[in-house]
Amino acid sequence: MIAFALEIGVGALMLLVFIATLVARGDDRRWVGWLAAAGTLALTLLALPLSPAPAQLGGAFVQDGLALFAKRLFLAATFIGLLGGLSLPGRPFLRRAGEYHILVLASLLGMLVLASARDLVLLFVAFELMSIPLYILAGFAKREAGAVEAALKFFLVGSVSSAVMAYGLSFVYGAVRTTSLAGVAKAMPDGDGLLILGLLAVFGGFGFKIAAFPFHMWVPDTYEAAPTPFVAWLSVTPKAAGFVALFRVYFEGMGTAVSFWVPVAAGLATLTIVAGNLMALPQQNAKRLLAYSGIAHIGYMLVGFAATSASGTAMVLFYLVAYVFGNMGAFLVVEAVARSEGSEHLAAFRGLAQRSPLLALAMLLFLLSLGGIPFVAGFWAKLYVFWAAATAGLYWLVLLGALLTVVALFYYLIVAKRMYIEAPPATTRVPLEPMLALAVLLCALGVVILGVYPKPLVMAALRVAAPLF
Amino acid sequence: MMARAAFLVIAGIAVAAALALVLRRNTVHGALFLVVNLGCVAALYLMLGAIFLAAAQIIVYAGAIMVLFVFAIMVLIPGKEETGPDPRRTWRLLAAPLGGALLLELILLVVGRTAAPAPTGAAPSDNVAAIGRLLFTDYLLPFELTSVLLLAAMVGVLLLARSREGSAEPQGAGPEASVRGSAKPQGSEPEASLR
Amino acid sequence: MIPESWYLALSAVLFTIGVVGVVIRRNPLVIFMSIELALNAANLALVAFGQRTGSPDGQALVFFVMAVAAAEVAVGLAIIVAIFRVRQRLSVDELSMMRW
Repeated sequence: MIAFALEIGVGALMLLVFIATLVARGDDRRWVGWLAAAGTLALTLLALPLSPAPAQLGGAFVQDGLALFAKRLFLAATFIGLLGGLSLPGRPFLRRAGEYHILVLASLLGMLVLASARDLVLLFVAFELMSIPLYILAGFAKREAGAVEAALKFFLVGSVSSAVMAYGLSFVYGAVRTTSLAGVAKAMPDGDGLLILGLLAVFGGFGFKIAAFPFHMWVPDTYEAAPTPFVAWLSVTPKAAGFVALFRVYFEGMGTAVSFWVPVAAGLATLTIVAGNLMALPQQNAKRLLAYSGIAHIGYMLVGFAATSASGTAMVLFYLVAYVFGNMGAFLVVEAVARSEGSEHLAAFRGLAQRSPLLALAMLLFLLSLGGIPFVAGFWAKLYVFWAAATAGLYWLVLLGALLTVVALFYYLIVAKRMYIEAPPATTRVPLEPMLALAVLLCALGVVILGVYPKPLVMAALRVAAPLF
Repeated sequence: MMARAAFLVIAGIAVAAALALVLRRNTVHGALFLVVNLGCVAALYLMLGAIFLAAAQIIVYAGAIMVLFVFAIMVLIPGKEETGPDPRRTWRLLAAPLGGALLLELILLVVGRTAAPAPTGAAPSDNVAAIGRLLFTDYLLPFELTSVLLLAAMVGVLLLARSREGSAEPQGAGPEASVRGSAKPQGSEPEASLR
Repeated sequence: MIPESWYLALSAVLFTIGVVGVVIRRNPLVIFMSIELALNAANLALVAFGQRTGSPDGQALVFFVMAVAAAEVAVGLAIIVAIFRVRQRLSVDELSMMRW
């Protein structure tokens, strides 16, 4: 039972929030959100001392180092995301706090199980449990045309990816005649065409979820229209869960057959980095800018994936942690500014350094981290990923990635220029809700600590990635 | 031979229905063609010996999901765009022989199955029992996750499809109100308890 | 007995039609139904593959795909209902967001 402790905890917390929603009365029901956030924090702390447990359910559910690493990350990211959303203004968030948190927790439960799934059935169900609540949350502001239309687009694209994934799973099942991923890994070296075709289709399904290039089209619209604290969470956690599942399906136990995925991942990484960075350049809306830059970051992580090695996997894990802090933090600052200025346009950031120096400093840290400047987390993340890819002989990919990092720096620094050089439209401070400030602070601490002292996390990532190969 | 002929006929209907769904303009007809297609696939499940899935296909897909679809289409899309004056009748007439052919195929299939040698898999009664056993042993965790998923989906549907935000917001008038009232067939009762 | 390959060919044809429908249609409801068509084709392939092994694994997976599809349909239709609420009296065909 100890192996399922976190899943049971999140499930119980979700039911608790559900019951609290049933009994909640009045127009302000945010206390339900506090309950969810406190519970998530408790579960995050509970996850820290957990140690790997033997596989359960005939090997379908594994609680190994990788699963625990991922689950701690998901729980911590969800806690920060919930913290940032606690003070959301507006009637829907006051009255619908219960529904919002039930859906976030349901999606979180799907992610936790996804990180442990070693069986096609469990993988598919967990993947869908993670995805379906997200469609609803994207349309949470159901009175706004943009939000529901973005939700519909997200939903249709996600459903297509589910269908493609299910079709791919049927091929995989047809080729190996078992639903166990261990069986799939054992059959991989034979190079069965049906199996490879199936796994490629499943890769496409994951590609939608992590928003790799040809499958990214839902991202900018959804990010722009959905509530920002939710977007902050959406932009990092499901993607982290997607990557962990990719490692489970495509690496674990495959031995030398992993080299088959190098061209697939390298090609996808190239497209994603180029497309994400170039499309980010002309953006004037802060959320759309972060959406496209987030796509580019997925490309950098795919570079680490393309290395198909234990060190590459570990570096992607490190990158994910850095990305969680940097990207969530940036979105939360956008939320703070947008709440004060009523606009998500980059012009809203003009002179932020004079108005709220600390907030501007936090945003600068996040931007530098995303851009890959030394002594913040993102620098080490990019460096390690490139290093792992170079070790695997993918020099051209490293060169391309490094070149486009310069492009990325350009659009990140434009935001910094607006904050630090341009004159502010007003001299008043940007008001900051305490809980939102705390969430930003946690992200900033994560970025700085990982930037100054990345070694323990790198070692931990290497430790959990090694058994996969 | 009998089974092969039956397969070809069912497959032909399934493909024709799928094509009609994709190519025809009329959304309601599309939904009905999808029902035909789903029924054909259910018949194929029977031929494959998957009795449990054939029943589930009819009950879940054709019974629940498609009714929801047809309902949503009927309620949401104003009549004019949906059903022009002339195509409606001819297509409804065409749908009848299609449904009849399907019924005929189902009968043919059942007759054919008793004559044909049993498939390689387990006997039909064992099939249902075996799946049931599997769902509550090896696949217990996905099964429980499915229930969480259905709960989350229900909460989400209530959130999105509920019309009244509370007493402060007046109910829309006229045709819109009737749309609101009927657009959520399963929503009205739990709505009261969730609010 | 009907060869497994016949079922798989049919499944492939249906899946293709479904995907084509997603691409060529502009009406979200029809796109949605085309997706269901494609999911169903995947299920058919799973059952056909499962027949040879005699083990009900494949059928269990189909059962889960069906359950997931049911949840997905409910959510999708709720989203479409919500859109209709916001843009009263507008045909779904006219939604501007369907530019990919």
